[in-house]
Amino acid sequence: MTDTTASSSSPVFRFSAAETTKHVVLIAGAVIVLLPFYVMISFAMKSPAEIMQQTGGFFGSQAPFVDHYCSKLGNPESACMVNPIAYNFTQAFTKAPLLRYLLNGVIVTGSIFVIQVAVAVPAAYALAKLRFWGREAVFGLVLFGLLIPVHAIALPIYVMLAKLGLTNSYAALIIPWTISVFGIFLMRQFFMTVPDDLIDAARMDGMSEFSIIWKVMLPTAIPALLAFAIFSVVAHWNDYFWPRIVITGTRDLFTPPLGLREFKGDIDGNNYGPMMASALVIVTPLIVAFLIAQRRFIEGITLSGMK
Amino acid sequence: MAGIELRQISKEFGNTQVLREIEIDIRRGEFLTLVGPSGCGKSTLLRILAGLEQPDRGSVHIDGREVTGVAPAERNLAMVFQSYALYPHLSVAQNMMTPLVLRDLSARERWPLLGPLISRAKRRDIAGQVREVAETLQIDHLLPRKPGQLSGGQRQRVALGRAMVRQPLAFLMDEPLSNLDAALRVHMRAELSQLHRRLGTTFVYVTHDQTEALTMSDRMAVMMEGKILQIGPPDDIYRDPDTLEVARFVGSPRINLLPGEIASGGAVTVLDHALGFALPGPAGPVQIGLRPEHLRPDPGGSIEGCIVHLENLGAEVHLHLAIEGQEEPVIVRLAPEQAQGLMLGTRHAFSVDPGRVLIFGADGMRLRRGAAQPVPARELA
Repeated sequence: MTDTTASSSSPVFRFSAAETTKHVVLIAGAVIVLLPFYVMISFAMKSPAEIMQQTGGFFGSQAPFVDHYCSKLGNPESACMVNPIAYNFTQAFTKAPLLRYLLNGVIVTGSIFVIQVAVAVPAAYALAKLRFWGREAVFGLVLFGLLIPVHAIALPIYVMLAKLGLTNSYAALIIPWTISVFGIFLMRQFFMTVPDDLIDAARMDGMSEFSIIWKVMLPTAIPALLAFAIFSVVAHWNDYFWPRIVITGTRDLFTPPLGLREFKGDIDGNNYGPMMASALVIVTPLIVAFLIAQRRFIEGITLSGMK
Repeated sequence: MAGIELRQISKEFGNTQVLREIEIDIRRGEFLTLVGPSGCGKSTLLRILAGLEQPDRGSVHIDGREVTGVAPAERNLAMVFQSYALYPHLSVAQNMMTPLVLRDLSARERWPLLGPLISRAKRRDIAGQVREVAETLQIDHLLPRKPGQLSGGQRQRVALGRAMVRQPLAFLMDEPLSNLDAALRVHMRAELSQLHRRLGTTFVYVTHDQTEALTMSDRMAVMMEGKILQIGPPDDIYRDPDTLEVARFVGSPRINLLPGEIASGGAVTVLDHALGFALPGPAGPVQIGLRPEHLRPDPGGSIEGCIVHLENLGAEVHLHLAIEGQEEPVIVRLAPEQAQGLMLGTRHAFSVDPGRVLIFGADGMRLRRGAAQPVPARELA
């Protein structure tokens, strides 16, 4: 008895090779994932000189420095002294219309998500709960669709959009993503867990099939929908590949990742500080959204049996 | 109140015939139970009556109107489901309002935001009706809660309330008590019967539990393999079953079946003991059915065996009697005073009341004793 109470009140720490290996591997993984974020945050706070000379540690010295662009315009040096953080972030918002890019990002990802839901929820309902000829075949096609990488069909889609004269428009950014087989699949798996009685009860109450979808199925599927929202919004907010292909001329249509290119390969060389500052601005909404929705997000994935 | 007629209803799922030419007349205001083992098609029949399923052949009539192709909501029936099927995201009050909102408000009055403004009086009226029903069921204190915060019995009441608010022509209930614990089930049985008497509405009740059917119904229909074997008042079904299957299904503990014979003269024997009466008709082997309560201790009785198990239920005692040559023990139900002195492991004889014996032919059909016992008309329409 005394043995067990002693060991439970003050656990003995013993070296375990297996545990240590586990943690070393996990820490190494965490470092690999977190290091780019560390660099991004650090660069966003440092002056160009500190970035180039790799001095100043994580925060930089925060000493004001001379903005060369400002002094080349003929201003006295004393008027061109700037704080590194202020410089990086003002540059991020002034050198490129970052706000406009963020707005484009919101418009594009928002439209994509709304249309994806409008398509996926009724489709998933039909696949999960209605009996019709060929249902299994259609579901097979959905699964098949999951296997096709976007890059494989990017060219044909681009050609089609070009023939329709839709390149360089919001439509080109949105239309190819409106039907999400992943969304259909995820929602279908979730709807399978909703008891049939609930749908029958709604029918007895006098709801139409569309009312059932939007007033009964959708509210019960909020966790799954939230999980899908994160997948969809993250994928399209961060997408660089597709906007890069269809948006060729107008900077007005740039999405945030395209905006990052503005800071690359200038005559002055790479301007890392403002670039990392805008990267920070771009990823922040996603990280905040994820942290807020984290619990329900995991709930949604586990509920649909996709742990 | 509605008279409901089901005519020649057949239904197949793939190659399995689930329902075969079902005919039922449900009288106005009666409590009819469809009872049978799982998979006998009783739920499918109820769903066809509700309009949730379409029959392959046959028709459904409510109050003389054919409704076979009519949508569920327009039949004005209410259904209570086994899983209660409450909308999990709506409060109890909203759950109970839903059928009324959908029936009584126009599409425009159901618009979000604007709808409530232009239909205030109607909505107040609906809320009033909901409150009234909630008070009858004593769930008015639960109205603001969500179904997830309720116990099984409370959910059951809410489901009942949601069915009651629309004052339907008939209530359809699909095993509504089977998710409740035993004590609550007995309680709800009485409560449902009282509710039926108070409302006077037709109840069509589906269950696999013969006790529920016997205790609650005005009439019960025993279904097996897609057919109605017998329909009638519970007492008739219990006392006077038409077939071996019905006799076996109804009654707990189950009926005892012993091999018997009709001799060439018509005399009936059980286990080679004469029962003391004769049956006309062909001679041959038969099955003798004896309800456990129709056996009495009697040293000269024809059923003799060893007591292998005793169950004392307080008000009655069940004896399991092993008889030579029989796989299944014979179960005897006795009053405690009759059971005094009957010890486990001892041999005893029991006599049979000849008037209570049920005789089944080799095909499982009941053989009745001529005019002495009038043959009740099978109540298949």
